[in-house]
Amino acid sequence: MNTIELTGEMIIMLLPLLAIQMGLTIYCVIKIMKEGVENLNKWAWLAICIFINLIGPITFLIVGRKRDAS
Amino acid sequence: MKSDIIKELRMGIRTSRFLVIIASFLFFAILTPIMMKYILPQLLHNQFQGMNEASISQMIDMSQKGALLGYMSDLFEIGTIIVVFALSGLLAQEIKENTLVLPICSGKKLLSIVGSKLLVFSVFLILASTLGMVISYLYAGILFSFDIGLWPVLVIGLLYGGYMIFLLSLAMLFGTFIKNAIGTGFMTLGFSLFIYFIGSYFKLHTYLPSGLLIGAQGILNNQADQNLGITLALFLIMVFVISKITLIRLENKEWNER
Amino acid sequence: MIEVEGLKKSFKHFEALQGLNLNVRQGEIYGFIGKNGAGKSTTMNILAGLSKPTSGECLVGGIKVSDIIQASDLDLGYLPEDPKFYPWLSACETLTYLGDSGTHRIKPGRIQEILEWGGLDKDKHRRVGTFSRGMKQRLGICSAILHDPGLLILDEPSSALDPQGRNDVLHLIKGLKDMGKTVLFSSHILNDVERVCDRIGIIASGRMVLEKSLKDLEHSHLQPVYDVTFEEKITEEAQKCIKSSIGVLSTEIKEQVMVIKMEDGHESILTLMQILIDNNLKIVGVSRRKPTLEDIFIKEVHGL
Repeated sequence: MNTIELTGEMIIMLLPLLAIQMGLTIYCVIKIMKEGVENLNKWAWLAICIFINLIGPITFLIVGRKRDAS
Repeated sequence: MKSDIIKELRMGIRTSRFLVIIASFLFFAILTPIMMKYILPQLLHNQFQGMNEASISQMIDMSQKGALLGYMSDLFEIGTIIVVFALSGLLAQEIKENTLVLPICSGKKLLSIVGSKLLVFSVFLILASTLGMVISYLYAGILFSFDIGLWPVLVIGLLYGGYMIFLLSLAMLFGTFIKNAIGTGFMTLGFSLFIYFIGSYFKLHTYLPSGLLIGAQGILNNQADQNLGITLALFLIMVFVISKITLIRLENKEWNER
Repeated sequence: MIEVEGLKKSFKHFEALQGLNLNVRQGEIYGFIGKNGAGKSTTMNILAGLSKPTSGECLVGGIKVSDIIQASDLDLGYLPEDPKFYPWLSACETLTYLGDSGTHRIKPGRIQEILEWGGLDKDKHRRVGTFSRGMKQRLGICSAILHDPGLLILDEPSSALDPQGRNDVLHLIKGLKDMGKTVLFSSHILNDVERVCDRIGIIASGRMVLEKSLKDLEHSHLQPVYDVTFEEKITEEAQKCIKSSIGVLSTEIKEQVMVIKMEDGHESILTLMQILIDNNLKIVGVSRRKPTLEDIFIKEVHGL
C-alpha cells in the first residue's frame, strides 16, 4: 500500500484543479510560441510551464513574458 | 483619474497579473480541501502502518474549519509570495523604464497615478481573496460538511485582502527605492515577514497588519480575544502613511535621468 | 520663448552644465548641437521641468521653471530621447490616456487628427510594443503636441532612426513650424539640423559655444576657398603661375578643377579674378566653397 488510491469521487473533485492547471499551461504555451520569451531560453520556459505545477506557469507570467510584445 | 484607472485595469489584464493572482488563489482554494480529505490521510496511513482512522483524524482537523485553516496558511505562505512578485513591478518597473515621463509631461497628477494603482489593485485583491475563501469554503463544505456560516468566511476573505493591500502599498514604496522589480519583491517579503516575527515575538499582532491574519484565524476558532477594530484602524493609517511617503518620494524625484 | 541664463547643473561626480546661456525665439526651429555628453539632454530635461537646476535662471514662455509645481504647468510638449510607452496599450489608447489629464482635456476628434498627422492611422489599434523605433518616435511627437503647446522640446528625435524614419520625423518637424510652433530640438546628426533649423546653438562641455542663425553662420564661416573649373587641362606652368601670385596660399588640381585657397579677406574673389586674367587663363566657372555645418562644428568645438 505505497500508492495513493484514486477513487472516482476523488477524480471528479480534482477536475477543477486540473482545469486550472491545464488552462494556465495552454495559455502560457500559446504566449511563449506567439510572443517569445525573456530571461531564459524558449524551450526552458516551455518545460517549466508544462512540468512544474502552477508555480511554473506563474513564474513564466511574472518574469518570463516578453514585455515588448504583450 | 478615470483614464488612470482604465490604464491600470488594462495593465492588470494584459500583463496577466490579474490572471496569475486569481489562478493561484483558486488553485489553493481547491487543492487544500482535497489534500485534507484524500491525500493527507493516505500519506499518514502509509507512513505509520499501524495507525487507525481515529488517530489520524486526531492529528489533522478533518473538517470544513480545518480545511479553511489550511487554505489560510497556504495563502500566507505561498499566496503572499505570488502576490508580492506579481505586483512588485507596479512602480519599480515604471520608474526603471521611464514610462512615467510622458504621462507626467502631459499633465497626469502623481496622486492620481499612485491612487489609481492602489485603488484598482486593492479592489482586485479584496475580490480575489474573498472569492478564494468562498470557493474553499464551498469545496470543503462539499467534501466534509457545512458546519460554519458563510458570513465569517466573507469577513476572513476581507481581512486577508486587507493584509495583501498592505503588501501592495509596501511594494509600491520599496519600488521607489529599488528600481528592480525582483529586488523590490524580496524586500517587501522580507519586511512583511519581519513584521510578522515582531508581532509574534512581542505579542504585538494587534497593532500590526499581521494582526489581520491572526484575527482571521481567531474568527474561525471563535476566539474573539483580539480587538479587530484597533488592528483595522492602524492598518488603514499605515497604508495611508506608506502611500503618502511613496507620493512624496515620487514628487521629489528627478525624472528621466540616465 | 526660452531664455536661459547661467544654467548650472551638477551631478554627484561631475558638472554637466557650467553656466549655459540659451535663447530661443518665438516661431523658430532651434537646433541644439553637441557631442554626446555635452549636456544637451540635461538642459532639455531641466527646461521640461523634469529635473531641477543647481543654479541659474530658466524662463520658458515667461514662466520661471523653478516656480512650477509639476512638469505640466509649462506650456510645452516634451519628447525624451528614448520615449517609453506602455507596450500593452495601443497607439490610440496611449494617446487617449495621455490626453485626459484633468487640467487640460482634449477635444474628441483630436486623437484621430493627430494619428493621421503622424501617419499612424493604420496602426492605431496595434500594441505599441510591436512598433518599430521610427513609429515609436512618431508616436512620441504625436503625444508631445497632443495638448497643442506653443513650444516643443524634442530630444534627439531623429538620431536613432534609419534614413526613412529620419526623413519622416524631419518632415513632421517642418510641419510643426508651419503650425506656428516654436521647436527646440537636439541632434548630433548635423545634416538633419541643416535641413530644418533656422538657428543653431553649439554646446560643448556644458557651455554654449556659439548661437547664430544658420544663414549668418554660413556667411561668417565662408572660407576663401574656390573651385575654379578650366576649359582645358591645366598645365603645370599655369599652376605655378597661380601658386606664386600674391594672396594665394595653396593650390590643388583635380582633373579640370583647381582648388585654390586664398588669404583671408573680403576681397579675395577680386584678387583671384585678377590673377586669372593676368595669366590669360580660360575658365568655365568659379564657385566659392560653402562651409558645411560639420566644418563649423569641428572648428568651433576644437577651437576651444
